[in-house]
Amino acid sequence: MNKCVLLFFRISITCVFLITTSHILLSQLSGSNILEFQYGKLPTEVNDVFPSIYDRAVFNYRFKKFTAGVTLENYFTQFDDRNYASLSQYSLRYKHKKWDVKIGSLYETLGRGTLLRAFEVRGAILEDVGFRSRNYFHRDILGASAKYRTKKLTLQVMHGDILNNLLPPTKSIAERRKDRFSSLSAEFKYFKKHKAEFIFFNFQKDNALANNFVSGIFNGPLPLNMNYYAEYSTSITRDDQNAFFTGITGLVGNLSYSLEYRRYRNIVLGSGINEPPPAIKMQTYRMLNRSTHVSNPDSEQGYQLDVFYSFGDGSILNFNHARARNDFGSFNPLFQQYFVEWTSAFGEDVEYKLYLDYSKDDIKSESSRYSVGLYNSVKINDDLTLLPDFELQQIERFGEKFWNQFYSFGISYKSKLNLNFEIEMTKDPFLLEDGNEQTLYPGMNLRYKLNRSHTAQVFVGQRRGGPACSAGVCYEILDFRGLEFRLSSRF
Amino acid sequence: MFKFVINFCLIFSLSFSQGIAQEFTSFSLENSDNELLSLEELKGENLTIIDFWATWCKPCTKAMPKLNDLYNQYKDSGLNVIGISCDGPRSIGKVDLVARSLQIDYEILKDIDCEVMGENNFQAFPTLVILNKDNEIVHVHEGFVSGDEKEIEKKIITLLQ
Repeated sequence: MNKCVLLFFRISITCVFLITTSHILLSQLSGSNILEFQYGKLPTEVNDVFPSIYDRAVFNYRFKKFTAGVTLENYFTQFDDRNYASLSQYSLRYKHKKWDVKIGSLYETLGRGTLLRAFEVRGAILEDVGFRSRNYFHRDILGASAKYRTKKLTLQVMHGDILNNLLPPTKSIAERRKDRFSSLSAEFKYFKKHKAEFIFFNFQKDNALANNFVSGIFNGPLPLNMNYYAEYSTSITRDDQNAFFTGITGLVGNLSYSLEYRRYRNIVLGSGINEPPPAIKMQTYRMLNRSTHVSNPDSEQGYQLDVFYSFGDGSILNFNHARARNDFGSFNPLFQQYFVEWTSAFGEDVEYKLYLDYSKDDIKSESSRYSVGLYNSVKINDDLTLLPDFELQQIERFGEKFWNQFYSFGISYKSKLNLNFEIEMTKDPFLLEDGNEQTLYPGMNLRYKLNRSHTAQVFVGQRRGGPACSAGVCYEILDFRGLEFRLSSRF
Repeated sequence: MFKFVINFCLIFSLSFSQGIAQEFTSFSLENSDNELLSLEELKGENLTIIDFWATWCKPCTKAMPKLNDLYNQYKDSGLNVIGISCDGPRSIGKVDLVARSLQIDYEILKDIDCEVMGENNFQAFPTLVILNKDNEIVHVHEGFVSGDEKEIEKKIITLLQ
């Protein structure tokens, strides 16, 4: 008991100290926090609901040219084997003029991620069905980086162990960071706007034999308002392990376009420390996001054409076509997509986006997938906006057709308050339970900005899981039924 | 559980210590012409708006034409707008495409690791940050719905006075 009193006393003193001295401290101390409370379970789970609390706090302290940072990550449930309280990141950075030196936890990408892609999906929390422990969705490097950068030249050297983000913090660091790399890169600018970059990359998984790669990247402007990008990476240790990605973008009057091509051979490194660009449009529409093709860099080639046409009244027509072919020996699945989006307005108060999509995905055994969606924004007055949306999708799998439907109605008061009611319905045979004809996912979201530093969010209902892509990274989310409260803070 | 309580109390006390203008971290990023540009080179004479966006973020692309209007209206009063794209490898090739289709006049910079946003502890897209002459954050606006441009304009007028 005495220990508890002492602890409470210490905490109180700390709080009072921080609040009273914050005007001095906060000039250099900053950070953010995500606190999420869940009361619910997987809809198919037979166990009782259980409450859980996840918290992630990031602190940065700046002093002249130095920045020090730490991240505290905590997760608590009634199950001890899922819980943890850890100092999950720490870093020290020196940044001055042409120098940028980092030690500790860092995020870096080489080229367009063909050999190395560390990332953070802001605000996303990952939960794996195997471990049932929640952790922040990121893949960081624990190591060091030194960069020297001028207007015409960039030199960088890096070394570190990369996080396998599928393993939760309840696992040891040795288990979670089995992939080690070292890299040296040099980037030059020539003919004013052209750029060439050369990378040497050494990769080692779990103390096995090292694999060395080299990479060349070129980009710059072309005549006729065009730009090009080309990247080729290859192993110099092993045969037939390479990646080629190229693209052009251009502008002709009101028409802008991009065309990308890729060919990947055995380029999945370690636990997936790299992520070559999939050249498939990143979709945020509910149905299309779930259906996004996830690239398999072990054997894939394909292309993507994306065209935008801007009309004088602000309307935009977007057409996208993508195609990907995998080579798995006797099985060579094809993915292809045709997508059209029309963005326009009726007067000043009604804005809308209408999309149509046709796709085919052999990996998912979907011989056809038709989708349509309409997203609206109806301004009632300067403060109030209504957001009615819907999407319909018909999929043919193994010769059987079924529907997915999504309806949403939102009310937004400025950007301060947003209340959203939504329902998803599916007749997907994989998701039907207990002989029901369809599965429903009703939900309500409330988002309220308390002030410029705090945002509160509440979700009540049932959320459909499955594949999801956010910030260009695809992952699997679990179904959820219950209540979720999140407080995001910045200080 | 005690560790959790300690952490939470620490953060709780810090997060209510708001109202202190923080200095925006300096940065150097490249534009579509591979030019390396810094905040110091681009900052407005009186105010600077920094807009964190991504090509896949629908509220972001909705906000950008409105922001472009504000830029054209107040640039002569010492306002500059800098768009920082947080597109990763998957969509960074679309940044110029989207900016061109939206006919954006202000400078668009690319931050493939979204480092600047992280350094300044912002989480949501879009986030619009207004800086004063001393690069101090004087206003933050997260998200975008129709009508928000008027609120932002009011803030710009107030800050320019």
